[in-house]
Amino acid sequence: MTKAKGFVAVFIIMGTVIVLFVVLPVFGIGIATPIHSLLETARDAEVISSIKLTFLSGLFATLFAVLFGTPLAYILARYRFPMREVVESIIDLPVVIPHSAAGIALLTVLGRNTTIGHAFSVIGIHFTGTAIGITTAMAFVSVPFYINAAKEGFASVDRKLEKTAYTLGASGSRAFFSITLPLAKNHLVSGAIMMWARAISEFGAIVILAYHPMVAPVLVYERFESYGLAYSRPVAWLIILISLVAFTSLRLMTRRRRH
Amino acid sequence: MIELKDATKKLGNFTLGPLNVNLEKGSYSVVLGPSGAGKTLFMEIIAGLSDLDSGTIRINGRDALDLPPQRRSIGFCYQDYALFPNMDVFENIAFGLRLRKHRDIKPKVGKIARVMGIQDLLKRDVKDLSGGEKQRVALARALVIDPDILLLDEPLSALDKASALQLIKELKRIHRSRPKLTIIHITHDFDEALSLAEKVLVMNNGRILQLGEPREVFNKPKDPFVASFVGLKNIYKGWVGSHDGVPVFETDDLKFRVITDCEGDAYATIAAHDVIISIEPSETSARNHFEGIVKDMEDKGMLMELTVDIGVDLTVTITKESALRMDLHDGKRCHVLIKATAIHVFKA
Repeated sequence: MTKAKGFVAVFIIMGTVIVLFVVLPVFGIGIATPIHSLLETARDAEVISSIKLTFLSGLFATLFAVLFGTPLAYILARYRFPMREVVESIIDLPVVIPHSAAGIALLTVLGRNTTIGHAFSVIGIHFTGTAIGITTAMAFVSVPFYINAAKEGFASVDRKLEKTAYTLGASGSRAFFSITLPLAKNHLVSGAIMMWARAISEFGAIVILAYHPMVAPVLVYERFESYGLAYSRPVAWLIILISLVAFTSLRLMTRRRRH
Repeated sequence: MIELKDATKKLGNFTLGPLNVNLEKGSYSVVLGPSGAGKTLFMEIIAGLSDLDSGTIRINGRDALDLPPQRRSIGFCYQDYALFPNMDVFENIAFGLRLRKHRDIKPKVGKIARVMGIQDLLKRDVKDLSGGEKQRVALARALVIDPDILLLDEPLSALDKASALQLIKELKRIHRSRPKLTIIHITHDFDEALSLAEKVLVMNNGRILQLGEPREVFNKPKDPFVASFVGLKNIYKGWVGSHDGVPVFETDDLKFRVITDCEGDAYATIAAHDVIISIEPSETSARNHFEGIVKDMEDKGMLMELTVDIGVDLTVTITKESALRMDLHDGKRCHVLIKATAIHVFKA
């Protein structure tokens, strides 16, 4: 123990640097923002509607990923098949490509004058400049967070539990819904929270596909470009605060359920 | 009855089979073999959790090749119990009954819980149970649906000795009280096999090397692997000839008088406790006399395990008391006596 003391002390100091690195800007902006301008911003209709739009679009993007990503995550966790690693790499792709490039790519296939964009416009769905476009961009950049967490969750469920369920008479879907899914649930929920958090913080892809209606990150950018730092700061601080509260309470909710 | 004919299954580099086995309805069979022998895969084939590549499987006279595990009437217990951690003890046991839409789930669960001595645990979380309790719950869950076949994959190997002995009793009782239930039990523990098995199957490299009554398998192995696996130390390869009309087993170094119908290339095994050591040459009924030198002595508690060089190495176990009385030590000369009937010969 005594011999490790100095070593641990060095690690603690290095760790503190990282913690301060994250904490300082987040609280620095809080200190720099006068309370009255924060309250004024909180009553700004444009700000309120942009935050609502952001949270809801993030929610729908996450629901889309849960619905279609859960089966994929299960298959990736359970089965060895040719091209499996290719599929996994494809799912991870949005993490590595720059989000502005992702926005350009999405616009290229979903824009008004493209085949797919045109086909969807026939049934009244437009991707450019709409909430659907925002949801799409959010889903694209954040879906790996959910799928990877869900995959890990399913892999953590012992295959023998499913096999035992089969011998007791359970069908494949029954074993999935009464054994596998409940046991992987915590991973799935925390993956969904991470995905939602990543989705609401997206800027790059959204700004290209749908500048309007303005999500919160775009609004901050727009205020900064048009009016400068002092005017964009209260909006930024408000969004940081709301995101922190939402994220922390979601985390606490799942933690409580786990115990 | 479980019948496998020319059953094979390939899994990566491993090939199971071809297996040809008949296990009678109501019998208790124990599968022995080193890890990687294919024992669990053999069980999963019977359970329908793994499909055959070729060959057939029939269960109670019915072709089971395309029968999914849900319809094979099987109870499967794993070494680590595989209890559902998201359910309490009651719900674990009730799981199979709920799927069958049974009406009287509560009395049925209560009954099997009493039989297994876990009636006080029904409301408990499965994570809080001891190993022995978990295995009882797993057995209750498998038995409550009244299966035709009970498959036990190393059910006792994660338990302490006392709980294992308790469960051996339990398994005997289950076997006695359910004459139609066919039980197959994987283990690597010989005591377990000897106290439970009516039939023993020895597996290695995906094949069943011997199937027979426990005494037969342990005393008269049909295969050199089986011989060494069941703990026989003295295994010799040679051939059977005849000397004055009496069968003789010969190696390059040595000849034994034996009693056998075998001819030609063969193996001979001698149980270490069947060998007699004396210091002076003595006239006995034993047909095989050798002079030897003690090469090594190993303390085995009550017993002493000697390695005696009689031209080949022979392992002999004697009591410590005898070893002391004869003043045996490394390098000591002695006489070795082996009865012809104590040498088991089988075809190579």
